[in-house]
Amino acid sequence: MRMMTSKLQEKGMQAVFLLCACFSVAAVLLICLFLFANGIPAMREIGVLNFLTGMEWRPSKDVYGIFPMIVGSLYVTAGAILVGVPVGVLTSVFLVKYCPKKLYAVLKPAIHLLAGVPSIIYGFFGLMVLVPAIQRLFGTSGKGILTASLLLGMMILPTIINTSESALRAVPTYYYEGALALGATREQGMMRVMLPAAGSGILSGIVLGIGRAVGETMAVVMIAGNQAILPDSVLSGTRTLTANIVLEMAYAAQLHRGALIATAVVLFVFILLINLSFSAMKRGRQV
Amino acid sequence: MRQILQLAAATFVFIVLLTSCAVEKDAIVVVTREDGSGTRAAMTELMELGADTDITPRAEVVGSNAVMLFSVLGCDSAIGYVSAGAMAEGVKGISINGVSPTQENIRSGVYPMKRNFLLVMDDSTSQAAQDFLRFSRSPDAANIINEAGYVPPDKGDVYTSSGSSGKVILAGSTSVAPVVEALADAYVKKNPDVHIEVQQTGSSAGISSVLEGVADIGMSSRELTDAERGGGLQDIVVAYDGIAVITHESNPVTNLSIDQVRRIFSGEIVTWQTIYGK
Repeated sequence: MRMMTSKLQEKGMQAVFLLCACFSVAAVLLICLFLFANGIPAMREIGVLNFLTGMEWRPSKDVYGIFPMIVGSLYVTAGAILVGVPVGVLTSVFLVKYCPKKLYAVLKPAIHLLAGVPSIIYGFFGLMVLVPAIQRLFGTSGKGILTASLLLGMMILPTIINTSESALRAVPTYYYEGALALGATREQGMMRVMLPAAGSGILSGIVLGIGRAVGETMAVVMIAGNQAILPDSVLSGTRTLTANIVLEMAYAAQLHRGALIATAVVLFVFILLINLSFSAMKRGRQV
Repeated sequence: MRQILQLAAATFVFIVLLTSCAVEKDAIVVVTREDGSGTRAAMTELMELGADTDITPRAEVVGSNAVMLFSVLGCDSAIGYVSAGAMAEGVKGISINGVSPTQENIRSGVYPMKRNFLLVMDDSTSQAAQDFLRFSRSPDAANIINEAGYVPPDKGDVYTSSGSSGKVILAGSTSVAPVVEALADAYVKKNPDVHIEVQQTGSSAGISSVLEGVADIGMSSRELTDAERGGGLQDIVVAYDGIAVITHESNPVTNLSIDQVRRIFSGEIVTWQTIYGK
């Protein structure tokens, strides 16, 4: 009898675990369903080509072209990579090879904390500190691609540092020792042997960082200027896909609302591509 | 290692040089509200921007009165616009055609950029909601509206509580909400059995939630469209508001003609020099 109940309990718990696992899958499926069911009809009504390559976004006149926003998202993300990757990778090198133990005990929690700061606080920081600084430096309004890139670069640092650090630590130490034995300096051993060996791990960290930068919303809305035009310099303002949605969602009705959901579809496809390339990279590493 | 550092430094200097010459000195930084905002709709209407011109796409877009104030506060070459009742320290309300956006000038109608704050309802309004509407026209309400920095419409009858109860949901414009919240506080004191909920969702969303029956009363800072009226909606004016064109305090400009405002916001005038020159 006791055997029976314990077996029943086990079965019951297994069902609970299964249910929990299904929950996240169901959530993703529902989001997909919602996005595509609402976004695709709107996209078709506007015309897929018109929607994706249209240069003008003017909801009051039912003109919906998101090309400037696609470009804006790409620019801002590229900028974030330019800022975040060198700093992040070099930081991880420092943490792995040069960092004294005492300093490490301070640095590591600080980096973890950086990851936990809510994005609206990053936005405030950008608005109060970065925007006036850029304004004084260049004499523009201070909001734009450069500001957004700097801030996003800062925001993706923890992701890049943490993945790069673990990738570097996973490289067998005899690579480094071998390099030194062959007459390489410590720097050469690190930069020419260890870094390339950890390459794919670092790359996947970068891809995760890209994902975060593309999807970031609140911080970007506050400091990017949000003009729906093609930017002509790194100082001019830009509107990202995420900003487009959050700015107008509250007001939108009918086709406008559909167009915003269609914008979300494009964003979703972006993120999907990034995640696919991430898992492809991971698989490549294992082989 | 050294080579990499040198390269990085050189690139940075190059970028700085490249971007600094792209900047036009003295450029006007136009800040606008997002498409769909009631304040923006009123602004375009008041500037008579018409069907083929719109606010320049080069204008910075912000999502609320608060961020608008902050953006203009933080940039000495900026120009923007807010609800006159929401003006704050540190920004300067520009006179339009020589008239400054004060409460008196808005009341008397001399200030040209005046708009209505509307409460919107349909036939199925609940008894408590109707009672609240009656209160909003009373002399007591007028004083509250005045104190909040807006201009009340002509006074209606003195309000006496009819002892109604229930829940009233108001939804809509973020500009109208401060007025309505002040009114709701006073109303609930007189009618403790009524619970009032004010949701800030934006004019258009507020109007459609009345149509959908989700809210009892909508708040709008723009006029109803013909389609919305056709849906069986009525409106009453709860207050008048001016739209103040604002600049940084340090900006020497104090007066603009409505034509100049139009040309600045449509992107025709792009430097402050053009304005000082006159």
